[in-house]
Amino acid sequence: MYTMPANGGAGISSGRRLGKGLSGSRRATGTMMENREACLAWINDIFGLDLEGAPQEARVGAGSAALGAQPVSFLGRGKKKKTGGDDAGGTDIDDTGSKGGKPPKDVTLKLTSETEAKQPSPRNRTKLGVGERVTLKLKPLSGDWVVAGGGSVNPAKGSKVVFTAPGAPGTCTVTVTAAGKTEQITFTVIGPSTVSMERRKIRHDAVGYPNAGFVARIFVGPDDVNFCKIGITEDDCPCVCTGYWADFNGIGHGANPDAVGLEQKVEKGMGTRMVGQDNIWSGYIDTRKLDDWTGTQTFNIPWNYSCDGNSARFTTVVHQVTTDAKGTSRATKGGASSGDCKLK
Amino acid sequence: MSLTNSGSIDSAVAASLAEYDGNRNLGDLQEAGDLAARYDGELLTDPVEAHARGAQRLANWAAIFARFKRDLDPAFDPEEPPLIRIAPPGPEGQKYMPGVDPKFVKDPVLREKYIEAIAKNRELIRAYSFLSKLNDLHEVILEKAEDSVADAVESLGLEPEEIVAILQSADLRPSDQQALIAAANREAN
Repeated sequence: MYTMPANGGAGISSGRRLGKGLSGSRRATGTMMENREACLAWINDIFGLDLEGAPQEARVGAGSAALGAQPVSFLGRGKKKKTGGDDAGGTDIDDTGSKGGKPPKDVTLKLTSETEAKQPSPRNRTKLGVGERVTLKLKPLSGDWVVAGGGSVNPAKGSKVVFTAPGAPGTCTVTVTAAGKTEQITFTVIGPSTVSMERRKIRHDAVGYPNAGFVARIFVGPDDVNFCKIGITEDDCPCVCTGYWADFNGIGHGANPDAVGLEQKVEKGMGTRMVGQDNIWSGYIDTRKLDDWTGTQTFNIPWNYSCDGNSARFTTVVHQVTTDAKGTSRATKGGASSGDCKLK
Repeated sequence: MSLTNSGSIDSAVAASLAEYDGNRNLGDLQEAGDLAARYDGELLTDPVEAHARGAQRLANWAAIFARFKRDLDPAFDPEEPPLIRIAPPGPEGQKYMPGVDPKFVKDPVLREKYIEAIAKNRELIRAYSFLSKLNDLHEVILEKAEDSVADAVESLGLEPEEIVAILQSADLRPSDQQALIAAANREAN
């Protein structure tokens, strides 16, 4: 038995804002190196590069940015130089040992993206599920980030930020500006559209009346994005029954108002796996024996998703039991089946 | 178990963790992870300041992973989730489809038992969902923390040995401790 947390185990909002509680004087991110000349000297020491003398031809065009008087975050994650014996642990930046000279004029910006969810690959995909989170990194500078088309990026300044896709489908473009240059990345955000099931266990009871069922894992697709940030609800719907099952006609498949979440696991050809298992079971009617058991029971169940305040019906899942004259029954749902369950 | 590291945790991280401790809202824990990683890659000219920042970063991660140690259930099995719908209890209840609206259950005693069972199952699903989401969040935050710890060596100049000492004294799950120690030694390897 799992222990219930105090708030009922609320999930993770996809639209949370980073930076809560930051004091106004605290920089959101970025390089704290103040002495540009010291940094140039440091680069020269570490990499053997004399940037102050870099030829104009070497400066790339697209994606490059004039460094100008920007903070020296272009140093990025430079290799640490061991000093030996000094346990201060700081980087070997000699902020008093400037070699002087001119700063580099250009720097190439590199914008990369990686989804937080490890599945599906590749993690630099630009097609996302609603609410998905993506780590964006800009090298070698820190920049100012804005997003158009929905979603959010937090923090708004920095070299490493998190883009959160909106709760509704759309196209979002994230733009980062650094040293007067911009880089962009455009994401296509989609909602769920399919439900697939994978049978785990057949259920067939020897009660002398037709019945069939199975337990299944549930997947929400398509499988080329991750839907771990959505919740799923089912609406109420009445059973439509014929023949042997007619006594169940109109019986409601009760609404499931509590949204059930999804895991981060994505299975190829299926989609993102839902938390929990579906329990598909025909029940049975034991009021009469028949020579011909033929009949059907059908639920057309509306499925809805919710994400970051947005909700929408995205599909109707058909749950059906068919029984033939001999009483052999088969339950099907989401592409999975109990197989033939003979009367016993 | 101490879940804070005597004053060196970033105040914003501490605030998010305090909220999480109070409400177990995983969004607060997620935010703590985002905040703990937000200065990754920065360079500081002052070695003393860089060292302090690195130590604070380690304290942040230690505090975050102490929550995972406290809240993750080692017995949690993602392959054995609860059923999202159940049938009314007992042999008589098996005549009904799982999830049938209780108003269609004719026997009033069975109906009441079914309503109780639905409520219990709902709690089971909520508790299981929390652990499932917590496990997933742990995976995400561990990856962030590994990069962040490696960056503390690379950008802030912390010595791997010092990081190892801090992590070994922290109250973490052994697997998290090992993963973060490996990250601290990433450059050396």
